[in-house]
Amino acid sequence: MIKMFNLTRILSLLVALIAVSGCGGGVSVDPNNSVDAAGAPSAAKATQTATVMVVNGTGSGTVTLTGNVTRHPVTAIVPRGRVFVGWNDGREWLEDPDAASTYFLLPEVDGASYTIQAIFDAGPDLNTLTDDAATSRFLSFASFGGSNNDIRQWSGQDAALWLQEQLSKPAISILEDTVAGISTTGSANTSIPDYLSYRFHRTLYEGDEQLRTRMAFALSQLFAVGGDVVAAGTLPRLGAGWHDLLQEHAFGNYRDLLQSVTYSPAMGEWLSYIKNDAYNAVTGTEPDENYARELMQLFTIGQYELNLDGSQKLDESGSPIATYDNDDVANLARVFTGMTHAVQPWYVNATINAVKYGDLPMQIFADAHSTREKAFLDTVIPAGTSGADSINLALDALFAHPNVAPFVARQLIQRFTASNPSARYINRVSTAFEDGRFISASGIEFGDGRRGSLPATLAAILLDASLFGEPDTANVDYGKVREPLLGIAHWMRAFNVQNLEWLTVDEYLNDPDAVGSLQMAYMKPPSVFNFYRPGYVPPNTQAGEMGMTVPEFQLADTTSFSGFINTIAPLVMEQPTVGDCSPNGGGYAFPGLQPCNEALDKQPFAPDYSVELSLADDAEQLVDHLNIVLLGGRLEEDIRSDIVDAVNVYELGGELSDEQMADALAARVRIAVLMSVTTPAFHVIY
Amino acid sequence: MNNRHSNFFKNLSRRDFLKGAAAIGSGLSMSGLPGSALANTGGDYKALVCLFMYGGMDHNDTILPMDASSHAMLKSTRSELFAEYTAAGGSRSREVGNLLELLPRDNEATEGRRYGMPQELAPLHELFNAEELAIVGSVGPLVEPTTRQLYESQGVQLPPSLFSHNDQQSYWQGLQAEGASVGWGGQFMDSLVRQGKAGDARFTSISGSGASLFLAGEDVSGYRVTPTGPLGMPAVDSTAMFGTSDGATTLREMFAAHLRRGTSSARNILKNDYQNLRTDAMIANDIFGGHFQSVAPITTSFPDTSFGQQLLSITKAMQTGRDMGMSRQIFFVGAGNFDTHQSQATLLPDLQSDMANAVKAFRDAMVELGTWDDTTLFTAADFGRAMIANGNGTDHGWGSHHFVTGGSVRGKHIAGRMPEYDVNGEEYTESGARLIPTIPVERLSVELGQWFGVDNDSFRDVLPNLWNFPSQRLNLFSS
Repeated sequence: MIKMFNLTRILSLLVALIAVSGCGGGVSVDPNNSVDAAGAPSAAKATQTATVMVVNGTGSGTVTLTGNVTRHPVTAIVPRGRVFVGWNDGREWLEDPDAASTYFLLPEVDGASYTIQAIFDAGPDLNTLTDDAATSRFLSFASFGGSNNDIRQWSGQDAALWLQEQLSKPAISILEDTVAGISTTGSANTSIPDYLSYRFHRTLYEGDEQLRTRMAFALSQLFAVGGDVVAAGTLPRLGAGWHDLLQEHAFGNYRDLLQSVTYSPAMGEWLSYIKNDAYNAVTGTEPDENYARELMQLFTIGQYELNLDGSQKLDESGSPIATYDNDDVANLARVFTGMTHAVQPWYVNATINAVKYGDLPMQIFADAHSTREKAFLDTVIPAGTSGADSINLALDALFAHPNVAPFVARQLIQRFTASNPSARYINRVSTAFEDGRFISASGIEFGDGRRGSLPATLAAILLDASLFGEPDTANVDYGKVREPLLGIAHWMRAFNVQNLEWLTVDEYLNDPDAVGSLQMAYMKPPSVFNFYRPGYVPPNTQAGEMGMTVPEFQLADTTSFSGFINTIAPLVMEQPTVGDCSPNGGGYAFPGLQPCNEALDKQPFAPDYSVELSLADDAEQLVDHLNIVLLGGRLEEDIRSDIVDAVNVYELGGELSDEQMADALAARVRIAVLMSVTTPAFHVIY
Repeated sequence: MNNRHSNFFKNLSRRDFLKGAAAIGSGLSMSGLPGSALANTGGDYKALVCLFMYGGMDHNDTILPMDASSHAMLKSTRSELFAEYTAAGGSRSREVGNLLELLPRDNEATEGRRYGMPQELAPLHELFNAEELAIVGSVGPLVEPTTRQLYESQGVQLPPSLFSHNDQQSYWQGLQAEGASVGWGGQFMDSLVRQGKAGDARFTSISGSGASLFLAGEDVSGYRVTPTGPLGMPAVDSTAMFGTSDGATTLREMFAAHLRRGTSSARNILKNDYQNLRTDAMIANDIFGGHFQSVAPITTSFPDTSFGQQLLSITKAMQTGRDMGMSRQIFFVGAGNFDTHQSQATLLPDLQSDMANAVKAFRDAMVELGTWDDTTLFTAADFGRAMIANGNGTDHGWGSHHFVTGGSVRGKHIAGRMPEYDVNGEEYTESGARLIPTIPVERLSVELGQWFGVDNDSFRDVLPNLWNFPSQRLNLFSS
């Protein structure tokens, strides 16, 4: 239950507001998601003449909405953050009739006019992780999940400091030891696809550079490279090189990332522009358009012109404005010709080169590069321009497009914090991308001031006011449905899971295509369109009825829920299936990993439930604790009581031996964890 | 709050509840009553199947010209590709002598030109000759009739985001670019469900692969099946996890109920949606699983390919549906890798033979079950591909040719129009010579819908652009 708004507090903030309202210069924000005045029947919305202005400096700000209400009640939805809302009908502040609700129903009075004021208290402590639950929530946005220790360490601190510390952590290359791991077995020519996937997945769970890896995971879904290009054990340099590239650029600049991606042989293979020939006048062969099209559609500008807040610009007839047509694609395709793997001459077989040089930037052969003019969007690259210059000019032109900030901002927000980000939120993040700088409420500066700074963009995403405050006060349409892999990762990190031997990783996490698996795996998207689309509106849901995008629900079907449970239940219950340990299963193959027979001596994927065991004699305490560590305080009262009831099925009274007692306590912890990781509060973070 | 969900429970019959409870209690091995007691053996039943080739199948490499002049023109725009096919040798060559000629019942679509299929599609060629398969030429997304001149001068309203994978997948399935939440198959089914002509809405739309826009309607959504029925939860349903004591049994039931908890006090929309989607899935699996147990085994064997196994899955779902008394079902199967930007001569033939063999197995299974006359399968894809090659691969196109097959299909028929092969011809865009469709997707939809029993009022709602085109029958069905 949240506390009723304290009238005195509101009034005192109002007073404070008067003092700061003159400072101006803040961020002007679109009203629609801050205070939404909407009558119950949709017709009422049309009668509103709302003017809303938000001035949000580093101190306080105001939201003022004036609506002329004729016949219909007005509902004001309180934005997340330290926000207090009251309204004034000219006489007095009215109190919320339902203290537990963020909906405020105004009295229905013919011809009444209300002024609604929300006081947006973005004080210097906006990002303070006020308690353990807040810390757990933040870590589920920004990392792969927090352990008991992480939560204890950061509780009470400024989240901006966590971000600052994480941004200082260097990228860790997996290239050399991955290659060594495979080649020293003497089986480099055998397909060992699982090993790479195992290396990828370990980085999610084990590394301290959590934000960097979380960002690389996000980028791996934006620049969705998959298939054998990055999964084949025969081509470890391609896969590990691509992984390293994303890690390296995670805290860099988007323009530099585009440069490296374009020269990456993994992308070159994936989108088939490696060995892409220039126009051949004899055969009439045109350059392959694959990369040119997806570079525009998926990696930079998207298909329609956008405002800074991610909404589409419209022409006079109210239609969206296409950013490019097929002639632009065909012309841009000429830019990405003449590229192939490093070192060797043009004619050498590409696959052989991928084995040797799959981590090195591609080289450009002038003879195979198009000499024709390349005219796309408003850019004309003159005939005869070299390959390297053409690429620079083309990427500069695309990067300069005003769509890039909102296009990238929206998708990154979706990967971290919100499945359906509001226009306001996108606007704030786009602004940070444009400015290359973001200053936290506490005054910490992120980004180097260069447009496209990813640290600034990340800080804007993760320190946004909409993420801070009690979950109960969040708008009902806030939140992110976590991709299933993030759920597994959170359980592993929360309980410091040990013995990640590769066969078990393979057994559980490596087959996104199998029906009933997680239907996703790190670096294994089915196509460049990723596992799901950022614009996916789920049918047959309330979210869909409201037009909300929920990409992750594209995975939801009648097998996926069972698949998640089948994957996580044996791990949580400490009964994992170990993969094939015979030599045929490859169990002995990899130096630096636990040999299979040794791995079998230990329980793979062993969780540390010691803190939970110490609480297990009190079901309520145990569940409340899990509500913090796993659920960030989002557990509903009625589901909480279901879990408590289940825990209490294992009775502790009577004549239990020590051993029986230990078993009962362990069983209590397991069922409590199992029910927690299968409750919607675990899968939807907000 | 959520009407859909309360309706869901209303639909749950006592018998279903018992079956569900059995499945909850002890896994799927203990189903309820024998389903055959309710089997829909003689009643009205029809099945419509969409087979989707993700990535965009190259129509120019599926139906090839065989008359000398057309063949030479196509070959000259794709010399490297033709050479690679020839080098691959044997059955793969795309030279005239190696193609399987299509001799349609009339020449309307072909205007006397000759066309054939590569040998990888021999099973479909066989069905064509057996008068069980028809071809629709030059079909694709259109808003209004479009010519090269109108296209190049931008004098016509075009479908959104042509040539883009996700948007054209969405357009073929839902007649809108990405972001559409309903598909025309699902909308057809909505109307039939509302008129009481289909059966339990939950099992009207069946997917052999992931989420499919085609299947989604306002009231119906895709139910995903596997070759072995609904995906069980052995980890939870078996006794291994919880043990066998009384307490363990109680706990297992509590956990099963936890997963099927229809509502909670949550206010967050996404949490409620998650809860509802999962509950619907679990209960549907309980019910479907009960019926699935009692369907008869089939002897037709399906290839161990993605299409093969998906078509096996839906065959069993069809049997299960009939056992449940369903009278209409739509199905979706989809598989990828048709985006052959490079190495087309290496990649495409296997994809084609996988597709064709799977369709043939499906047809044989339908014949075995006696439902082939009540079944129609049609193919679809993101788009066809540009006629001008990019070397040994091809780029995104627009219009395409597709197959319609079934026991009621007026086979050995080529509907629509088969193109000529002049890159500067009226039928192609200037850039890349991408085929401009002459038959809108809606024209295909409406004939499938009419066969399926959808009424004309529904067409007006679901296919609004249909009326932008002159009436032109494709005559895909007998009668």
